[in-house]
Amino acid sequence: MLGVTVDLQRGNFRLTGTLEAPAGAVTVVVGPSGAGKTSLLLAITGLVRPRPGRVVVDEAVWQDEARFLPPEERAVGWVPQSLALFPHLSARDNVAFGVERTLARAERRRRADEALAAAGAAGLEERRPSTLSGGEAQRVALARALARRPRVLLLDEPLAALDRPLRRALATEIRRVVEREGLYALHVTHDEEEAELLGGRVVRVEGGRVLANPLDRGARSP
Amino acid sequence: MRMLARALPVTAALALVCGATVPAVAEVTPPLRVAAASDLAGALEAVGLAYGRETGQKIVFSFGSSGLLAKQLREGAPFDLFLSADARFVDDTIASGACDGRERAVYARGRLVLLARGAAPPSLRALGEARWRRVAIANPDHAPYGRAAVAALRAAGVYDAVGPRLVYADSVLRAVQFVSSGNADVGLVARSLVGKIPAESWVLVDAALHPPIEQTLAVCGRDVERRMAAAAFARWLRGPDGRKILTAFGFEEPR
Amino acid sequence: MTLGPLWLSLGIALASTLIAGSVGVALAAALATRRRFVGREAVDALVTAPLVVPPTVLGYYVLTLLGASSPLGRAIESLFGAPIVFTRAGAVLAATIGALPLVVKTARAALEGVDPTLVDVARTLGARPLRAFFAVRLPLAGRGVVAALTLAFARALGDFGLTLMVAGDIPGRTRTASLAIYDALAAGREAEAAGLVAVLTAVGIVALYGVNRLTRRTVG
Repeated sequence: MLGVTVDLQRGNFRLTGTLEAPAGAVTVVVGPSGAGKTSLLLAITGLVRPRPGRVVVDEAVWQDEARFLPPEERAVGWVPQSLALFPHLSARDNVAFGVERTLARAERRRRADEALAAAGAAGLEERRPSTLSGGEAQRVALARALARRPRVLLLDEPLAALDRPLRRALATEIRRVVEREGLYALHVTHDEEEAELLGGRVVRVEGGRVLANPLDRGARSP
Repeated sequence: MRMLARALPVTAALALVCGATVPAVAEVTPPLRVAAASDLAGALEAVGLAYGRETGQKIVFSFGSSGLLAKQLREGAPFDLFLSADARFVDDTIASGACDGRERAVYARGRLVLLARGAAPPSLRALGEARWRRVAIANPDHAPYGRAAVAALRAAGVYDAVGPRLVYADSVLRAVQFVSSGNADVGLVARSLVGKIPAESWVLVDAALHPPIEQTLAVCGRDVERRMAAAAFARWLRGPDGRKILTAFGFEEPR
Repeated sequence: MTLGPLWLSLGIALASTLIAGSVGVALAAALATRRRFVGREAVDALVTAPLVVPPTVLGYYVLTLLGASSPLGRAIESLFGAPIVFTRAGAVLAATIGALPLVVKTARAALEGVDPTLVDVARTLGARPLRAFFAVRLPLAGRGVVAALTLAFARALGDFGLTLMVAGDIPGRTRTASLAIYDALAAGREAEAAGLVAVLTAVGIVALYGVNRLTRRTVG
């Protein structure tokens, strides 16, 4: 179980609430823009620190009253809204960035290529991010987040810049990976239709409150 | 990024080669290092050449404002001899222990002159005329020739009229340059600096109008051999050969 | 025309650029951190302050601080066997002090121009703050940092007042091109001065041209 409790102050904005998510399934986080969805993800990555706050992944405590793990020590894969691909590195080097550093360079590159292929981005290895289309960049960013073998996958509006057919395809792939690897996954969107489409577990965030009433509708085939 | 990393060792090597931290190579007969006031520029270079020809001892000069040179000597500047335009700064360095009081001597008397680009004004009193719009002198706060200039103007009774038209230069050498470049109409400067300038452009100022400019020297530094060499040069400077050159540059014998 | 002072100036400028570059970028990184710390802008102002003070005056104070009449200066001399003032190391120190504010200001702006989300993502990918800095933030600020170094080099090459006070104008040892030019002018040797000025200016112009080319391109 992924358990998150936050009380987070960022400037004038405050986010509070509790969230629980099961492994091996995508949990959709939906709510209007500015509600605090991104802040919720940031709290889980450890890039911001809710006070007080609690982030527990299976038996691992990422944050509680006594402890706070910095982002680099958390098994998290984060795809921000802007994707944030490193512009000075190729797709392969982007993906290899997160791979275990104890491995030899050649082995890291191999894993990166594997991850790219698994994300449907084979053939893009040498490309620079600025030359990638929206859909291609999404896949590379996803591959990069997954290459690290995270426990928790955080996706911030991953389908926003894509057109319809691509959306379905990518959403399906994401779900497949999450189910196959047994990951925890939060998929953030402001689009109610999209949330509907994705189906599964839904958590609502509105006006800085994580509403503790998930609507468990069961999986719907796309 | 990798290219930068590769460039670093090359750059470092280059810096070392260019001698950034390598100590100066010792020469067979190390040159004598003399710190001298700016007004001595022309005269001392001639002196240095003559001394070198006669004794084989090379001398290198660092010219500057006496006040700053004295400060540097107090902070350990490696000069062997300090030739100042007056006694005050030399005594400072002796008091601080940088220079030796036993070798202190007045080696010449300086003279003040009125210098202009065309025809020089006949006297100090003539400076009262409006046509001398900018009058250059060395800064009286720290330059002996500047102090002498102010004293002379007061004694001649024209300080009130000329005062507002004074342009201060940071050294008497710069005051000469102000005049020769046309930035000042006239200057009160050192006789030793007018050198090749035609005689009608400068006129001696009556020495009675200002306190005597007693150019003083002292031997400095801790190395015994270098001090002996510096003292030898100082003696030569004050002897007949040195005196001949100094006189040629307009210095007078000390009284 | 003797080229000794020119080589000396080049060597000193290179060494100063290396030192001012590393210290300056480190300082810039400390100032460019997102975590606001008390007195940050005060530190920035302090580092930039040397630009405001006339170089000869600044040199005067540095000389007082490190010369034979100060405990610090005497400590340096007993530690290293030689004082730092009136030596080539002193000339490097003077040029470094002059160049440091330029490096810090320029490098800070360059570092702050890097999208912070990129550094954040690097952290989530397992990079500790130091690796995130060297592998992501610094390379992306690369052009600005190189521009900072070029500025530092040009400034160090042309330093006069600080060098004159702290290192002295000692022929063969610390008489840099700038000092030699000044001496030549003061002595009326205009041709010699003009020659040195020409070379020094040429190097300066090439450096500044490089800076312009590097900083013209916007991130893309």
